[in-house]
Amino acid sequence: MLAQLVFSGLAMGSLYALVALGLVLVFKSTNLINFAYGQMAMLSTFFGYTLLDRFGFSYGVAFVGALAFSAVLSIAVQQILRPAKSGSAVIVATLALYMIFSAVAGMIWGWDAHSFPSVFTGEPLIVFDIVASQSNLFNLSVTIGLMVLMYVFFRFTKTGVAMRALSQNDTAARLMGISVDRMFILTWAFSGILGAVAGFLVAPTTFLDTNMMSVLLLKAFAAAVLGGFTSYPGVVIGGLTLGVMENLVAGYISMDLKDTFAFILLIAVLYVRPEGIMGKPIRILGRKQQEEHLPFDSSAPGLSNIRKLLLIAAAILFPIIFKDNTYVLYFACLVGIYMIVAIGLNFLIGYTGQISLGHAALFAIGAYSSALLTLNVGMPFWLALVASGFIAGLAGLLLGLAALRLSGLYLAIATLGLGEAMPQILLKWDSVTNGYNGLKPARPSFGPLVLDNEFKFYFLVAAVLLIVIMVTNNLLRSRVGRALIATRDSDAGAEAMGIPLARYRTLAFVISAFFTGIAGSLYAHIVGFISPSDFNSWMSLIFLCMVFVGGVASLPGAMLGAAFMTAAPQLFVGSKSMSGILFGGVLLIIILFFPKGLAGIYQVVADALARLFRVPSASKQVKGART
Amino acid sequence: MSTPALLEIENMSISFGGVKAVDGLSLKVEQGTIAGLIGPNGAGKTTVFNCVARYYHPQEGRIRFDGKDLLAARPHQVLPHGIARTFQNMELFRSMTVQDNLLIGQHTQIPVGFWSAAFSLPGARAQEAEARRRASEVMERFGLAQFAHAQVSSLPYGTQKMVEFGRALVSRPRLILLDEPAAGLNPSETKGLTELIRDLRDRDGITVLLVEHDMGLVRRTCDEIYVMDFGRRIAHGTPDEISRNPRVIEAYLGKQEEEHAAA
Repeated sequence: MLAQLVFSGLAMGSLYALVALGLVLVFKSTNLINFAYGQMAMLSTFFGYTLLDRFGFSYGVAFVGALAFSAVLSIAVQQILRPAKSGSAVIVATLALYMIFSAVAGMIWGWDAHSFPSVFTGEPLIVFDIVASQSNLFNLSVTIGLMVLMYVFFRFTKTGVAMRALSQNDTAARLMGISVDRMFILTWAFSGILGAVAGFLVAPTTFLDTNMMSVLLLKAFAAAVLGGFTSYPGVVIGGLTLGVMENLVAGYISMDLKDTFAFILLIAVLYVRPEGIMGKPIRILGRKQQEEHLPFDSSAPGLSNIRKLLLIAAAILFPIIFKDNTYVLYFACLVGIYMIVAIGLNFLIGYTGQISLGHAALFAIGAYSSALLTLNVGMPFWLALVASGFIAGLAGLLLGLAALRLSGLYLAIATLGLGEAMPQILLKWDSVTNGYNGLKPARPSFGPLVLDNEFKFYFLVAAVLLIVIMVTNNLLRSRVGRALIATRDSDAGAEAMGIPLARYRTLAFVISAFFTGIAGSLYAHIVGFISPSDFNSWMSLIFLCMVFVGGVASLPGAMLGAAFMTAAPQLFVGSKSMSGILFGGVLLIIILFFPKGLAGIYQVVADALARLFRVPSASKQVKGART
Repeated sequence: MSTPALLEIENMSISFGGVKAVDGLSLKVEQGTIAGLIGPNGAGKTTVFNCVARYYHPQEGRIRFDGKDLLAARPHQVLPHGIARTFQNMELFRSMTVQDNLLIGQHTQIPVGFWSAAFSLPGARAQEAEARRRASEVMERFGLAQFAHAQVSSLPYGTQKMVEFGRALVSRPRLILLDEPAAGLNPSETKGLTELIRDLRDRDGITVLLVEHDMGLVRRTCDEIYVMDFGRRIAHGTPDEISRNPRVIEAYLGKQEEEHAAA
């Protein structure tokens, strides 16, 4: 049994290694990390499938066709990413591509799973009691073959050596007469080919669908991190180790734990030894360019009192006008809840420059805490609302402490892992969470006052949102907010000013998690039903989009982003593909060309209008609105 | 002198990967004086600064400030001791305004807790107003008042240098470490800077330790000069003594200038 588990673990692990190699290849030469990599492989596999299934080409032709397609796609992605100015912009841009590719595949091939033929259907080989299916053997030999090929290429060919030189110092490589652009294109093409090979090998075992690579990609990240992101042999060892270990867990402990194990291992490795088994520590993600942030002024005049009153009046009038339209009111509640999340996430991304791809997990913690506290403990709603903020805040504290050891890329991977693991944990822990069947939290109530319709929900959400906005505004205009932003702008400078970096970076996580937890609690009681699948990685990506689309480090930006991201899909009800393409497309355009988001665009337009009409005070008020 | 020096570095050594950046260095900066630390590029001057600012931890030796062991402090605890600094490449908070930079300079002196900040309680507001008043005072002095609400990254280089200067001063430190304050300034700006540095000593009673390549500035400001080469102290004395010292002349003229190394 042991030998069998090890063997099939190696076969699976070799696929993780293959995908991880593709990621690391690009990372080492261009310092970019491609979160769309799995979806690119998925698209290429679908392309091969079409050649095979629709046009009746032979397996070999389809395979080569898919590799060529993947190489071209990969080069296209490289070109698209060129305007990205910073490490986080690349991460977000590839996430946008992830959304677009998923949606495109769904549109062309549908969201259902297709079965993918395997080349080998013959009898398995049996050696010393190990049943080795032909496809397992094929996977292993292809992977090993590719690795040998890569070794020879990098070691002995002129191009390979040039690529290695490039990954160490691109300026020096350029001076040595290496055409950097050509090398980058070559690297990406090669990485694309590796991805397509992995896709072809995986598809027969898992079925072919738009999501087939996402778990694999995460495991490849885990493998890459385990082995060390910067070392090719390390990555291969990491992939094989992960494959064997998770198979052993599945075989000896529980099948259910298999996937969760990989994520827990990932987070554990990141915590204990972020540089992995064989890698070297990575300090800087991407070239450390001076990132442009929205100007910040802690003493900018806020909105004038008249404008404040107008806004509050509008917020009160709105539900009265739509009193009978429960759909609009319910929708407004959701917008308000997501605004709270976006403001919270902005604390992290906007004001301290730390990224989180797993905020849905904190949202889930808030929602489940509140539901369980009211249902099982009988806590009153208002107390559960606050308590769920604190529970999520505690989770944020732990995450923040872990984040101190991780920066940029690693933090993105760790939070992504957490986001993936959370729905699974909620599912498996069904004695408490009721698993698939979910929970039905009661309507929000304050003593005898039960909020039982959308009209009343609206005022609850509006009140909480108002408090969140006020607290955020106060914090940002105080020494706390300034210190947070100082850690983002210059860590050496901040320390020299007596600001403890660790404390403030962790604090940003706690505040962010607290707001997200409160929003989760509101969500649970207003929607009235929660289940693990609500809180998936897609939700985390949407949260991320809200911040980036709205405008990083801008309070109105976060709110605009939340409203946009919640409203836009209403235009395409029923079409998952269209909303995916729309979201991804808007996000991509904004991150590449309008890094200041909707708030930035609004500011430009408002300033232009102010100039046009020569209103001297207008630009001042716009400035105030940005803080 | 009977009273102990304000800053005392004793026999300090630090090496990076086998290269001794600072090798058995000792120096003293007396209260109320301006001391210069000079030497060719790569001599280890900035490394000394970074040890005092606690970014680096020397493998040997001691650093005492006002009689207290500074090596026990973490980087963010250096300013509360009364030591402020500027950076060779300026570490300003670029997206923020001049005023905010000066307010962050007072971070450790605004005793406002998280909750009173979050709810903008009256105590917090009073502290904030006081900090703003102090910031305006410093902006007035450095000719920055007109830029109070300008984003730092939009200002000319020389003005940014003044902002960093003001940010170091705003917390009323006892010792200021200036890392190449004149780098990138034109002659007339340098002249103004010379006055400012003297003012720190004569008007504010602040002790200064500066690293500088502009010998004119060093001669006109420093009471005492320490010369470093290859991580060692090769000379110490008044500006006049140093300009006649044959070892110093050799260190500067006897070899070619290297690129910025560890310094």
